[in-house]
Amino acid sequence: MDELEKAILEYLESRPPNWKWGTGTQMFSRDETIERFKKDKKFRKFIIERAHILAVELFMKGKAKRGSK
Amino acid sequence: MKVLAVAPCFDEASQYSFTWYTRLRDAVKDKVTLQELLRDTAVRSAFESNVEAFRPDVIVFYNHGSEDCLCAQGGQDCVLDSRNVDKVAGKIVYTMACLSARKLGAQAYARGCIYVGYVETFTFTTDEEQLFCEAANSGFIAYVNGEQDWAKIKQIMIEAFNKAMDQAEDPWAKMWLQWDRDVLRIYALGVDTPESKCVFRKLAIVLFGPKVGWKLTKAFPVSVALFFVGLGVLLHDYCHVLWQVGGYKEILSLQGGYIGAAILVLGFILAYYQICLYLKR
Repeated sequence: MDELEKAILEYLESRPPNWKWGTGTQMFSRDETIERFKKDKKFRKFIIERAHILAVELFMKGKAKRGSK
Repeated sequence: MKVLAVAPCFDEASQYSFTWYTRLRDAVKDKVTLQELLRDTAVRSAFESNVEAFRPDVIVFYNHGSEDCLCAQGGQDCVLDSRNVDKVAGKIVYTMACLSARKLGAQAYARGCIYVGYVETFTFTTDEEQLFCEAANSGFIAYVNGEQDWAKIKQIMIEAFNKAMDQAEDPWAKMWLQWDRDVLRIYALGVDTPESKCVFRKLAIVLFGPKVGWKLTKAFPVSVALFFVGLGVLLHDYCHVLWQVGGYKEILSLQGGYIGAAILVLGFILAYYQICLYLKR
Protein backbone atom coordinates (compact mmCIF):
# COMPACT_ATOMS: atom_id res chain seq x y z
CA MET A 1 0.00 0.00 0.00
CA ASP A 2 1.21 3.49 -0.80
CA GLU A 3 0.92 6.51 1.48
CA LEU A 4 -2.50 7.60 0.20
CA GLU A 5 -3.94 4.09 0.53
CA LYS A 6 -2.62 3.88 4.09
CA ALA A 7 -4.06 7.30 4.91
CA ILE A 8 -7.49 6.32 3.56
CA LEU A 9 -7.41 3.04 5.47
CA GLU A 10 -6.48 4.84 8.70
CA TYR A 11 -9.26 7.32 8.05
CA LEU A 12 -11.78 4.50 7.56
CA GLU A 13 -10.59 2.80 10.75
CA SER A 14 -11.12 6.05 12.64
CA ARG A 15 -14.81 6.25 11.63
CA PRO A 16 -17.40 5.57 14.35
CA PRO A 17 -18.88 2.03 14.34
CA ASN A 18 -22.28 3.26 13.08
CA TRP A 19 -20.71 5.09 10.09
CA LYS A 20 -22.38 4.08 6.82
CA TRP A 21 -22.54 4.98 3.19
CA GLY A 22 -24.66 3.78 0.31
CA THR A 23 -24.07 3.29 -3.38
CA GLY A 24 -26.86 2.07 -5.60
CA THR A 25 -28.79 -0.62 -3.76
CA GLN A 26 -25.91 -1.44 -1.40
CA MET A 27 -25.17 0.00 2.03
CA PHE A 28 -21.72 -0.40 3.58
CA SER A 29 -20.76 -0.18 7.23
CA ARG A 30 -17.33 0.95 8.42
CA ASP A 31 -16.09 -2.63 8.79
CA GLU A 32 -17.46 -3.73 5.43
CA THR A 33 -15.79 -0.75 3.77
CA ILE A 34 -12.44 -1.52 5.41
CA GLU A 35 -12.73 -5.14 4.36
CA ARG A 36 -13.54 -4.20 0.80
CA PHE A 37 -10.79 -1.59 0.68
CA LYS A 38 -8.25 -4.18 1.77
CA LYS A 39 -9.41 -7.05 -0.43
CA ASP A 40 -11.06 -5.56 -3.51
CA LYS A 41 -8.28 -4.20 -5.71
CA LYS A 42 -10.69 -2.64 -8.21
CA PHE A 43 -12.56 -0.82 -5.44
CA ARG A 44 -9.31 0.37 -3.85
CA LYS A 45 -8.06 1.66 -7.18
CA PHE A 46 -11.33 3.48 -7.79
CA ILE A 47 -11.27 5.15 -4.36
CA ILE A 48 -7.66 6.26 -4.87
CA GLU A 49 -8.59 7.67 -8.26
CA ARG A 50 -11.51 9.63 -6.80
CA ALA A 51 -9.35 10.83 -3.90
CA HIS A 52 -6.87 12.19 -6.45
CA ILE A 53 -9.64 13.93 -8.39
CA LEU A 54 -11.01 15.42 -5.17
CA ALA A 55 -7.56 16.61 -4.08
CA VAL A 56 -6.96 18.31 -7.42
CA GLU A 57 -10.31 20.09 -7.24
CA LEU A 58 -9.81 21.22 -3.63
CA PHE A 59 -6.41 22.67 -4.51
CA MET A 60 -7.77 24.39 -7.60
CA LYS A 61 -10.66 25.82 -5.56
CA GLY A 62 -8.19 27.01 -2.92
CA LYS A 63 -6.13 28.66 -5.62
CA ALA A 64 -9.21 30.37 -7.10
CA LYS A 65 -10.38 31.61 -3.68
CA ARG A 66 -6.92 32.97 -2.87
CA GLY A 67 -6.73 34.61 -6.29
CA SER A 68 -10.08 36.37 -5.86
CA LYS A 69 -9.10 38.01 -2.56
CA MET B 1 -47.81 22.10 -13.51
CA LYS B 2 -48.92 18.48 -13.06
CA VAL B 3 -46.40 16.25 -11.35
CA LEU B 4 -46.60 12.48 -11.02
CA ALA B 5 -44.29 11.45 -8.20
CA VAL B 6 -43.17 7.84 -7.85
CA ALA B 7 -41.30 6.80 -4.72
CA PRO B 8 -41.06 3.12 -3.79
CA CYS B 9 -39.56 2.21 -0.44
CA PHE B 10 -38.43 -1.32 0.31
CA ASP B 11 -34.82 -1.46 1.51
CA GLU B 12 -32.37 0.54 3.59
CA ALA B 13 -31.07 2.67 0.73
CA SER B 14 -34.55 3.42 -0.56
CA GLN B 15 -35.59 4.66 2.89
CA TYR B 16 -33.19 7.53 2.28
CA SER B 17 -34.44 8.21 -1.24
CA PHE B 18 -38.00 8.12 0.11
CA THR B 19 -37.14 10.67 2.80
CA TRP B 20 -35.48 12.85 0.16
CA TYR B 21 -38.65 12.69 -1.91
CA THR B 22 -40.79 13.78 1.08
CA ARG B 23 -38.46 16.77 1.54
CA LEU B 24 -38.79 17.61 -2.14
CA ARG B 25 -42.56 17.34 -1.85
CA ASP B 26 -42.60 19.69 1.14
CA ALA B 27 -40.58 22.22 -0.85
CA VAL B 28 -42.83 22.24 -3.95
CA LYS B 29 -46.28 21.00 -2.90
CA ASP B 30 -47.89 24.46 -2.88
CA LYS B 31 -46.76 25.19 -6.43
CA VAL B 32 -47.68 22.00 -8.28
CA THR B 33 -50.64 19.68 -8.81
CA LEU B 34 -49.32 16.49 -7.33
CA GLN B 35 -50.28 12.86 -7.84
CA GLU B 36 -48.28 10.39 -5.78
CA LEU B 37 -47.46 6.71 -6.18
CA LEU B 38 -45.72 5.88 -2.93
CA ARG B 39 -44.49 2.58 -1.47
CA ASP B 40 -46.90 -0.24 -2.47
CA THR B 41 -48.69 1.85 -5.08
CA ALA B 42 -45.39 2.54 -6.91
CA VAL B 43 -45.89 -0.25 -9.45
CA ARG B 44 -45.82 -0.37 -13.23
CA SER B 45 -49.56 -0.76 -13.84
CA ALA B 46 -50.42 2.18 -11.56
CA PHE B 47 -47.70 4.27 -13.18
CA GLU B 48 -48.95 3.58 -16.70
CA SER B 49 -52.62 4.18 -15.84
CA ASN B 50 -51.75 7.43 -14.04
CA VAL B 51 -49.68 8.70 -16.95
CA GLU B 52 -52.73 8.10 -19.18
CA ALA B 53 -55.35 9.50 -16.84
CA PHE B 54 -53.51 12.27 -14.96
CA ARG B 55 -51.40 13.39 -17.97
CA PRO B 56 -48.50 14.79 -15.95
CA ASP B 57 -46.02 17.35 -17.29
CA VAL B 58 -43.30 16.03 -15.03
CA ILE B 59 -42.49 12.62 -13.61
CA VAL B 60 -40.45 12.64 -10.44
CA PHE B 61 -38.90 9.32 -9.51
CA TYR B 62 -36.96 8.68 -6.28
CA ASN B 63 -35.62 5.17 -5.86
CA HIS B 64 -33.26 2.65 -7.40
CA GLY B 65 -32.56 2.44 -11.08
CA SER B 66 -30.39 0.68 -13.58
CA GLU B 67 -29.32 1.45 -17.14
CA ASP B 68 -32.69 0.45 -18.51
CA CYS B 69 -35.04 0.63 -15.53
CA LEU B 70 -36.62 2.77 -12.85
CA CYS B 71 -37.48 0.21 -10.17
CA ALA B 72 -40.98 -0.48 -8.94
CA GLN B 73 -41.86 -1.32 -5.33
CA GLY B 74 -39.97 -4.45 -4.30
CA GLY B 75 -37.23 -3.98 -6.86
CA GLN B 76 -38.25 -6.87 -9.11
CA ASP B 77 -40.22 -5.00 -11.76
CA CYS B 78 -39.70 -1.63 -13.45
CA VAL B 79 -42.00 1.36 -13.38
CA LEU B 80 -40.34 2.62 -16.55
CA ASP B 81 -38.07 0.79 -18.98
CA SER B 82 -37.49 0.53 -22.72
CA ARG B 83 -40.80 -1.29 -23.21
CA ASN B 84 -42.92 1.62 -21.99
CA VAL B 85 -40.52 4.54 -22.46
CA ASP B 86 -42.97 6.02 -24.99
CA LYS B 87 -45.13 6.94 -21.97
CA VAL B 88 -42.71 9.76 -21.09
CA ALA B 89 -42.46 11.17 -24.63
CA GLY B 90 -42.54 14.96 -24.51
CA LYS B 91 -42.49 15.05 -20.69
CA ILE B 92 -39.87 15.85 -18.09
CA VAL B 93 -38.39 13.04 -16.01
CA TYR B 94 -36.56 14.11 -12.85
CA THR B 95 -34.85 11.31 -10.97
CA MET B 96 -31.99 10.62 -8.59
CA ALA B 97 -31.97 6.93 -9.56
CA CYS B 98 -28.61 5.35 -10.33
CA LEU B 99 -27.44 4.71 -13.90
CA SER B 100 -30.75 5.38 -15.63
CA ALA B 101 -29.40 8.27 -17.70
CA ARG B 102 -27.13 5.83 -19.54
CA LYS B 103 -29.73 4.03 -21.62
CA LEU B 104 -33.25 4.80 -20.42
CA GLY B 105 -32.51 8.53 -20.34
CA ALA B 106 -31.12 8.38 -23.87
CA GLN B 107 -34.20 6.50 -25.06
CA ALA B 108 -36.50 9.01 -23.37
CA TYR B 109 -34.51 11.92 -24.83
CA ALA B 110 -34.91 10.40 -28.29
CA ARG B 111 -38.66 10.67 -27.71
CA GLY B 112 -38.54 14.37 -26.92
CA CYS B 113 -38.30 13.95 -23.16
CA ILE B 114 -36.14 16.14 -20.93
CA TYR B 115 -34.34 13.71 -18.65
CA VAL B 116 -32.54 14.59 -15.43
CA GLY B 117 -30.63 11.62 -14.06
CA TYR B 118 -27.27 10.02 -13.39
CA VAL B 119 -25.02 7.89 -15.59
CA GLU B 120 -23.40 6.10 -12.63
CA THR B 121 -24.55 4.99 -9.19
CA PHE B 122 -25.80 7.76 -6.92
CA THR B 123 -23.70 7.48 -3.79
CA PHE B 124 -24.12 9.10 -0.36
CA THR B 125 -23.07 8.95 3.27
CA THR B 126 -25.69 8.59 5.97
CA ASP B 127 -24.08 11.10 8.39
CA GLU B 128 -24.43 13.94 5.94
CA GLU B 129 -27.30 12.66 3.82
CA GLN B 130 -29.03 16.05 4.09
CA LEU B 131 -26.31 17.57 1.90
CA PHE B 132 -26.80 14.93 -0.80
CA CYS B 133 -30.56 15.40 -0.60
CA GLU B 134 -30.38 19.19 -0.97
CA ALA B 135 -28.13 18.96 -4.02
CA ALA B 136 -30.18 16.21 -5.67
CA ASN B 137 -33.44 18.12 -5.07
CA SER B 138 -32.11 21.54 -6.07
CA GLY B 139 -32.80 21.25 -9.79
CA PHE B 140 -36.46 20.40 -9.49
CA ILE B 141 -37.03 23.08 -6.85
CA ALA B 142 -35.44 25.62 -9.21
CA TYR B 143 -37.69 24.43 -12.05
CA VAL B 144 -40.84 24.69 -9.94
CA ASN B 145 -39.75 28.17 -8.83
CA GLY B 146 -39.83 29.32 -12.45
CA GLU B 147 -36.43 28.51 -13.94
CA GLN B 148 -37.13 27.11 -17.42
CA ASP B 149 -33.59 27.10 -18.83
CA TRP B 150 -32.19 23.61 -18.28
CA ALA B 151 -28.62 24.80 -18.78
CA LYS B 152 -29.15 27.17 -15.84
CA ILE B 153 -30.82 24.41 -13.83
CA LYS B 154 -27.77 22.21 -14.38
CA GLN B 155 -25.57 25.07 -13.21
CA ILE B 156 -27.78 25.47 -10.12
CA MET B 157 -27.38 21.75 -9.38
CA ILE B 158 -23.62 21.83 -9.88
CA GLU B 159 -23.38 24.83 -7.54
CA ALA B 160 -25.57 23.00 -5.01
CA PHE B 161 -23.20 20.01 -5.11
CA ASN B 162 -20.18 22.35 -4.81
CA LYS B 163 -21.76 24.10 -1.83
CA ALA B 164 -22.50 20.74 -0.24
CA MET B 165 -18.86 19.72 -0.80
CA ASP B 166 -17.73 22.86 1.02
CA GLN B 167 -20.14 22.19 3.89
CA ALA B 168 -19.35 18.48 4.25
CA GLU B 169 -17.02 17.67 7.11
CA ASP B 170 -16.31 14.08 6.12
CA PRO B 171 -13.85 13.75 3.19
CA TRP B 172 -15.68 10.55 2.19
CA ALA B 173 -18.85 12.65 1.77
CA LYS B 174 -16.94 15.32 -0.18
CA MET B 175 -15.61 12.64 -2.50
CA TRP B 176 -19.08 11.22 -3.25
CA LEU B 177 -20.71 14.63 -3.60
CA GLN B 178 -18.13 15.40 -6.25
CA TRP B 179 -18.81 12.01 -7.88
CA ASP B 180 -22.59 12.57 -7.93
CA ARG B 181 -22.08 16.02 -9.40
CA ASP B 182 -19.83 14.63 -12.14
CA VAL B 183 -22.24 11.85 -13.15
CA LEU B 184 -25.31 14.11 -13.26
CA ARG B 185 -26.79 14.52 -16.73
CA ILE B 186 -29.58 16.71 -18.02
CA TYR B 187 -30.62 15.60 -21.47
CA ALA B 188 -32.16 18.70 -22.93
CA LEU B 189 -31.45 20.80 -25.98
CA GLY B 190 -28.25 22.78 -25.37
CA VAL B 191 -27.30 20.96 -22.16
CA ASP B 192 -26.13 17.34 -22.23
CA THR B 193 -26.45 14.84 -25.05
CA PRO B 194 -26.50 11.10 -24.38
CA GLU B 195 -23.29 9.30 -25.26
CA SER B 196 -23.32 6.03 -27.15
CA LYS B 197 -20.75 3.27 -27.56
CA CYS B 198 -22.55 2.00 -30.67
CA VAL B 199 -20.67 2.85 -33.88
CA PHE B 200 -23.89 3.05 -35.91
CA ARG B 201 -25.48 5.37 -33.35
CA LYS B 202 -22.42 7.64 -33.40
CA LEU B 203 -22.48 7.66 -37.20
CA ALA B 204 -26.23 8.42 -37.23
CA ILE B 205 -25.70 11.36 -34.84
CA VAL B 206 -22.87 12.72 -37.02
CA LEU B 207 -24.90 12.30 -40.24
CA PHE B 208 -28.35 13.37 -39.09
CA GLY B 209 -27.76 15.31 -35.87
CA PRO B 210 -28.74 14.27 -32.30
CA LYS B 211 -32.49 14.81 -32.77
CA VAL B 212 -32.74 12.24 -35.54
CA GLY B 213 -29.67 10.17 -34.65
CA TRP B 214 -31.06 9.17 -31.26
CA LYS B 215 -34.44 8.15 -32.69
CA LEU B 216 -33.16 5.67 -35.26
CA THR B 217 -33.33 2.03 -34.28
CA LYS B 218 -31.28 -0.96 -35.46
CA ALA B 219 -33.81 -1.36 -38.26
CA PHE B 220 -32.43 1.75 -39.96
CA PRO B 221 -28.91 0.50 -40.89
CA VAL B 222 -30.41 -2.94 -41.63
CA SER B 223 -33.01 -1.44 -44.01
CA VAL B 224 -30.37 0.69 -45.78
CA ALA B 225 -28.05 -2.32 -46.11
CA LEU B 226 -30.86 -4.57 -47.38
CA PHE B 227 -31.91 -2.00 -49.95
CA PHE B 228 -28.44 -1.50 -51.40
CA VAL B 229 -27.46 -5.18 -51.25
CA GLY B 230 -30.75 -6.04 -53.01
CA LEU B 231 -30.14 -3.33 -55.60
CA GLY B 232 -26.56 -4.55 -56.08
CA VAL B 233 -27.72 -8.15 -56.70
CA LEU B 234 -30.36 -6.89 -59.13
CA LEU B 235 -27.87 -4.72 -61.05
CA HIS B 236 -25.31 -7.52 -61.15
CA ASP B 237 -27.83 -9.94 -62.69
CA TYR B 238 -29.05 -7.26 -65.08
CA CYS B 239 -25.49 -6.47 -66.20
CA HIS B 240 -24.78 -10.19 -66.63
CA VAL B 241 -27.76 -10.56 -68.95
CA LEU B 242 -26.61 -7.47 -70.88
CA TRP B 243 -23.13 -8.98 -71.19
CA GLN B 244 -24.64 -12.19 -72.58
CA VAL B 245 -26.57 -10.16 -75.16
CA GLY B 246 -23.84 -7.79 -76.34
CA GLY B 247 -20.73 -7.95 -74.13
CA TYR B 248 -19.24 -4.92 -72.32
CA LYS B 249 -20.43 -2.56 -75.04
CA GLU B 250 -24.01 -3.46 -74.17
CA ILE B 251 -23.35 -2.96 -70.43
CA LEU B 252 -21.81 0.50 -70.98
CA SER B 253 -24.62 1.75 -73.21
CA LEU B 254 -27.62 3.61 -71.70
CA GLN B 255 -30.27 1.11 -70.62
CA GLY B 256 -33.80 1.58 -69.33
CA GLY B 257 -32.89 -0.60 -66.34
CA TYR B 258 -30.24 1.91 -65.23
CA ILE B 259 -32.80 4.69 -65.27
CA GLY B 260 -35.14 2.45 -63.26
CA ALA B 261 -32.37 1.82 -60.71
CA ALA B 262 -31.60 5.56 -60.51
CA ILE B 263 -35.32 6.27 -59.91
CA LEU B 264 -35.35 3.61 -57.16
CA VAL B 265 -32.35 5.24 -55.41
CA LEU B 266 -33.88 8.70 -55.79
CA GLY B 267 -37.20 7.44 -54.37
CA PHE B 268 -35.33 5.79 -51.48
CA ILE B 269 -33.44 9.02 -50.68
CA LEU B 270 -36.62 11.11 -50.86
CA ALA B 271 -38.49 8.67 -48.62
CA TYR B 272 -35.73 8.74 -45.99
CA TYR B 273 -35.50 12.52 -46.27
CA GLN B 274 -39.19 12.70 -45.40
CA ILE B 275 -38.66 10.34 -42.46
CA CYS B 276 -35.77 12.50 -41.22
CA LEU B 277 -37.91 15.64 -41.44
CA TYR B 278 -40.62 13.89 -39.43
CA LEU B 279 -38.14 12.67 -36.80
CA LYS B 280 -36.71 16.18 -36.46
CA ARG B 281 -40.05 17.50 -35.18
